[in-house]
Amino acid sequence: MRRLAFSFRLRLDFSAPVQKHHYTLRCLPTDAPHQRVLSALLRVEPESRAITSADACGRFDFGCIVPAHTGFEALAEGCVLSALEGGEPAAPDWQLGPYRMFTPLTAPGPSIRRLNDELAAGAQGDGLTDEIMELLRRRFVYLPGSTHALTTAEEAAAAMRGVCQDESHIMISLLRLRGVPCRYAVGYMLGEGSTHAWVELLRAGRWIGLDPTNHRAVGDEYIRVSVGRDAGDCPVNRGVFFGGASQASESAVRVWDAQTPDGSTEMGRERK
Amino acid sequence: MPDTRELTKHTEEINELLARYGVKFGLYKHGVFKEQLFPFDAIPRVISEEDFAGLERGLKQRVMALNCFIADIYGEKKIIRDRVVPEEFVFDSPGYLAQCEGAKPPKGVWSHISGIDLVQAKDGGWFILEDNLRVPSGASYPMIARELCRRASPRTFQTNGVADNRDYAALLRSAMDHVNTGGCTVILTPGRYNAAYFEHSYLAEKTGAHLVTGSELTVEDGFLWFNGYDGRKERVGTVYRRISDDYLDPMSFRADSLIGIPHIYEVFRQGNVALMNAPGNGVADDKGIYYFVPRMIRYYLGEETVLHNAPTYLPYYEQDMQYVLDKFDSLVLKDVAEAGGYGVVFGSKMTKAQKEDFIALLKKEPRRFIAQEVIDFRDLDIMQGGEPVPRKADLRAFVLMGEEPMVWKSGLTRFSRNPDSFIVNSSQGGGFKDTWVLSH
Repeated sequence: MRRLAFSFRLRLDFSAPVQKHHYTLRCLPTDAPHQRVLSALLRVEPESRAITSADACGRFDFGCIVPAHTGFEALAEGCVLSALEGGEPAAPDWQLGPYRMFTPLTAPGPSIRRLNDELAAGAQGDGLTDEIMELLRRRFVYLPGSTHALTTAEEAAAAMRGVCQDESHIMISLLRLRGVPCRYAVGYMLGEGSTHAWVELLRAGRWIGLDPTNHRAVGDEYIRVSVGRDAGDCPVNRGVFFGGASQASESAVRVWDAQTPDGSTEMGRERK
Repeated sequence: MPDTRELTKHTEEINELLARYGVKFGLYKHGVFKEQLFPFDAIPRVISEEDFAGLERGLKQRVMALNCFIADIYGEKKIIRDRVVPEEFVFDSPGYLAQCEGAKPPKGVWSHISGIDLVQAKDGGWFILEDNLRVPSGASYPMIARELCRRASPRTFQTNGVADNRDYAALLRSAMDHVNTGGCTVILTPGRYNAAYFEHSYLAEKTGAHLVTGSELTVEDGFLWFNGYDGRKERVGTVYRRISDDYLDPMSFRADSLIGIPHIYEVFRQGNVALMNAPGNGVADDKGIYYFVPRMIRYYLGEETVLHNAPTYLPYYEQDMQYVLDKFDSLVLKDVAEAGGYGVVFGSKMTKAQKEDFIALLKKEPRRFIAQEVIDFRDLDIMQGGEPVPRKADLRAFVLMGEEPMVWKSGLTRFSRNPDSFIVNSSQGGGFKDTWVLSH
């Protein structure tokens, strides 16, 4: 268990005024057996009332800015107790069908199948995941900018380069190829300046996280924001607006230990 | 048999009126949009009161079971647990929408309007061909045809004892009101250039709903609003949407949809508007899932199936695959991902090379196909050049869900104009007939 504070900031700049801008943000964590959300705050500029909701993927906040504007900013902040009770209990196996099926982003092609051939034929459980993690560690080159949001697992496996999203998609594709249910998770990580992605799979009836990008198990340095079949289920920001504008976006994440010597959180001090 | 001689004399005049009212449908062929008239044949399909009673029982049962299935799939998934339906036929189907997991539509109704396609065999027995639970269209055609027929030959309807079919609007309205969450009722159309625009405007007029396009609806503060012509905003309680799931809401489904309403799906999820039909229904009207409907009826309702499927084989099951390979020439094969009469091939009509290619594909992707016995349809007469000639025809029956399911005492009978074709879809150039249910 660890007390982590986080802040997420998203800034969009439009080349011309836009209006009736609808947004859905999946940037605040959900209370779950493995993490308790102590505080979570969202501020959107221009000011608008966001409605909080949740679906199978987790919490989201949505709203609409009607007047014309050229910039949009979302600031999410909060504090979480992470890594409680060894993971989130999974639904019964017969409800996990969606996490066993391939999606367009995770469907295997020749490159994924070649990788699969490199894994021991009968490998399963920890043996299988260890092998996949090791294979990715040895062969996958972390290279931001070499892929985009819609790059598939197969495309990433063909090039063997990309970012955390791609590495997670390849791992998911390999696991599902062997019938292992697994999920794509998005969240924040201590020491990581942008949103992060990893893979969840079942151990003894609980979802545990594996982070192929950092070659490690997900522990108390991680805050999970959303979870789905692939990255398409978990976009941090989705929006539509009226107006013929191009958009530039930048985002930043900060996660820090919120435990001060007296046990109180650092939230107040860290806030700008 | 009812006497329709006087009525059929007016065929041409009725067709002219249908054209003037805009009873057309549009289709894309080789990437080009073409609008076509929907030819009407005045000889009605006639269903006896007794025959219809059996259909009614079977259709209600089927729609009830399908509704239970959709609720189960996006909820507890017990039918998967009990191994009645294999999960890959559900979660891998293009009609399954993960966004709908956990959704609870108002009053638990998923399929408010179901269009169930049937054929009648030579011996009089009915078989289900397919279920349409997304946005089934076609009810307006027999409605307006009946109206024009009554006008052309009032006597025909005085003497023949035909159940009035003008109550479709009332049935539809009661289905709309049943799920209304508080507010007005709208019919959402993609617009003038949609194939079924005539139907959208006609049903709006008949039910007293506002006919709207996406730009007239907005989501604000968790509710859906209709921006009236006078500048006033009115809350919306029911949307009879005639646009597909994909295009309904760019925030939840296809992001490039320009005809949808951002966040409408979220308003629905929160229980603040009814969408009919509910998004996600495609999971139950897939051609692969069709095979399992009789099992669903037994599973959810504990009843024996009243209306049978056409005998169907799933090459996914080894035993069925063997049967399909043995009897290939006598079967019709359907690609589960296709609709509208596309992706349907007859074993008997393939060349040797085509057959070999097809069988190779079938073995490679067994999940993609179903095979069915070719049913010996009862032909219906149509008038051609002043002579009655027999043609293949099917029936789309409409089941509406209020407190209880209601079966409309009419339906859309479609026929193939080509004497050699079994495919009656309007998108393949077929025509239509009125469907009479006799009232005594």
